[in-house]
Formats: sequence, C-alpha cells, structure tokens
Amino acid sequence: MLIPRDICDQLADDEMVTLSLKDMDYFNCIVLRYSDRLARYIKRISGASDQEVEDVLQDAFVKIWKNLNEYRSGLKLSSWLYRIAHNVTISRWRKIKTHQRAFSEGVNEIIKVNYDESDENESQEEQVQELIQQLDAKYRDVVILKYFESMNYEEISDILKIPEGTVAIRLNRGRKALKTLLDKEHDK
Amino acid sequence: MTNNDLRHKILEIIKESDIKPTPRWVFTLRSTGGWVSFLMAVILGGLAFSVIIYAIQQSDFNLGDHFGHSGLEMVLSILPFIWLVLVVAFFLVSILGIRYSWKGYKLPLLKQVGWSIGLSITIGTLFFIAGGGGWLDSTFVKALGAYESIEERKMQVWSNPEEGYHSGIIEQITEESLSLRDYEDKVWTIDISDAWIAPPVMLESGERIKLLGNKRGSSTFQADEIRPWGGGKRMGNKSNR
Repeated sequence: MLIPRDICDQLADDEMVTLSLKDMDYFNCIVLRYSDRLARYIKRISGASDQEVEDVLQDAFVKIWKNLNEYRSGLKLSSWLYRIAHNVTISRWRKIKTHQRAFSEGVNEIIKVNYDESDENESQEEQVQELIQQLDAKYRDVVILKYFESMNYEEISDILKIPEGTVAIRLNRGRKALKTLLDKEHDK
Repeated sequence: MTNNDLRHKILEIIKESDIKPTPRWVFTLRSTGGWVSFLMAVILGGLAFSVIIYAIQQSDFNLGDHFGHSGLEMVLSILPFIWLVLVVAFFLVSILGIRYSWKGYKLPLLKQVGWSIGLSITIGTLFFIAGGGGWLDSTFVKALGAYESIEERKMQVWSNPEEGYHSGIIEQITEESLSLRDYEDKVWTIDISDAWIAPPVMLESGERIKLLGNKRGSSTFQADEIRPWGGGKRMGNKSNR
C-alpha cells in the first residue's frame, strides 16, 4: 500500500529511513521525495535516454532498499542516495560513451547561470549540460553536483567519496576546462 | 512513467523478489573492519619496521665508505628482504583500510600516507627501543627454518678476511696482538699494534668483536679498526688504546 503523499511530506529524512526498516511501505516516501532529483542527476551524468534513466533509477532504488541499514544519521540522506545512484549509473555506463549532441549557440558561462523553472533557463541548462558531457568524468561529476544539484563541498565529498580538498581542485579544473570548451564554441 | 507508477513498480519489484535489507551488523562490521585493518596494519608494519631499525643498528651504517659501499648497501646486505616486503605490504593494507572505513575517504591521500607511515615509525621505534626488533628476528629463526636471521647474515658479511671484514671471539690477548676464534672455529692471530679500538671494546677474553683491516697470511690479520660485535657509531680515536 502506498503511503499518501501528505503523510510522507511530514516525515524527516531520518524518520523515513527508520519507518521504512519497520514497514517497507514507507520506502515509497523516499522514492516519492527523491526519485525526480535522482532521475535528473542520472540523466545529467550519463546523458541516457528517459527509458534508460528509468531503468537505472529502479536499480538504484532497489540497491538503496538493500543497503538501507548502511545509512547513518552522520550523513545527509540525500548525499547517501546520490552516492548509490551515482555508483549504479557509473557501473552501467562506464564503458559506454555518453551521447554527444550538437551544440546550440549562446551557451553562457555555467557559473553565472542561475537556473529556475522558466522555460528559457531550462533550455539554457540543457545546452550547458550538453557541453558538460564533453568534460572528463571526474570533473563532470563535481560540476554537475555543484551547479545543477546545488550540493555543497561536504555533500559532494560524501557522494563521490573523495576529500573536500579534491572536490575543490576538481571543481576548479572542471570550470577551467568548461570555460575552454565555451570559448571554442563561441569561436565557431 | 509517472511518479506514482514508479513508486508502485519499485515496491512491486522489491516485494516480488522478496528483497530484504542487508542486516546492519554487516555494514557495521565492514566500516569498523576498515579502521581495524588500518590499526592492525599500522601495528604490524611498525613491528616489521623495528626489525629494519635493528638491521640498521647492526649494520654499522657508517662503515660503508670504508670499503667503497654505501650505508644502504651495508643495511641491505644483512636485512632479510622479507621485512621490506612486509613493511610495504602492511602500508598498502593500512591505506586500503582507511579507504574502506566509514568516512575514511574524507582524509586526503597525503594525510593517509602520513598517518600510516608516522604511526608505523613511532610504533616501530618504541618496539625497537624495548628490544623488540632483535626479539622478532630471533623468533622468526625459531619459527621458520628457512629464515636467515640478521645475526647470521651479519656473520657472513663479517667473515670475509680477504675483503677486510673479520670477526670472532677473543681467546687471548698479548701486547701487540690477540688470538681470535672465528665462526668456523679457526684461530687467527690479529695484529692490533696500529688499530683504532672503539670505546665499547674491552679487549677481554670471550668478547665478540669485529675487525676492519687486511689479511696478511693464512691465519694472520692486520687490524685497522676493532669494533664491538653489536652495532654502534664510531667514537673516540686511534690514540685511545
């Protein structure tokens, strides 16, 4: 039985985990709260089709369920969920090149873009995302987590299991690499 | 697929496959195991390191120049290779231990290496000071028949009168010479008239010594330096006799 959304909305992350372990129906609260975000993230790091993203998302939630006892309150639930989604995505797409689509003109520097729900910005986000797919995976991951998922250094560190200093270095290099790609794109 | 469909589908998969969450103790064991592995590896690495310090002490590191060898060569000539392998192996295990521990990834690699090496050196030094290095070496001799101890290797190095390295037990002492029984039970006459004698050497019957010098005959040796059998740095000068 699905737990109604209004009940799920009242639960804190830690409560959802605790209740899920007692009654698995509560697990759908976790799915409800995070499926959209995780699906978006999976799409961003893999460039996969909607159907593929859905498959990965299912695998990720099954893995999350299996490993639910691993989660500890010292970590943000979202970081832990992103970590699993990230690993499932990577293990599935590691050897498959991401889709490279044609670039649109007028891509703005990513760090200046403030994404909201407007159509214009959504299109802009898509363009930048296409460009990001060209980055080396280790830079791409931190750039996506920082600028598309609005994660802070600590959260990125927990998701990718790397020190915060490494997050900062990769972000800096990723930004520079992206800037180079943007410049090339403008020169075309 | 809508969010509701997805929720249904995921719950269906879990229920149909009867997937149960892995028990908490498995994860506790795994994350604690990381830190335990780290600690164990650091301690064991420290113990192996104490034997290396013992080998350095026994090698008379500063004697290398005397015969055109580096100090490192001197150490390696008496250090059983297994200890170097063990130190490196335990170091790698300790780094893996951190990686697999809960939040161990937060520690930058440089700090992981620093902590691992620093702790191993500290533990190894303390263990060596307590006499652990030599004890471990002799314990290995008893436990492993094929193991060649530092003492045995040292005896081999210092039983080369042709190359200027000699050693044994003092039997008799006269004004200008002494008789020395080497480790193959052969008695040598050692000319000590111009030899520098290291301060710890007492020149007493039954004392174990090592010599630097030149072979003069089939059973005679001209000593340039007389040193105690145990390790130690050069002290004193030629006029101390």
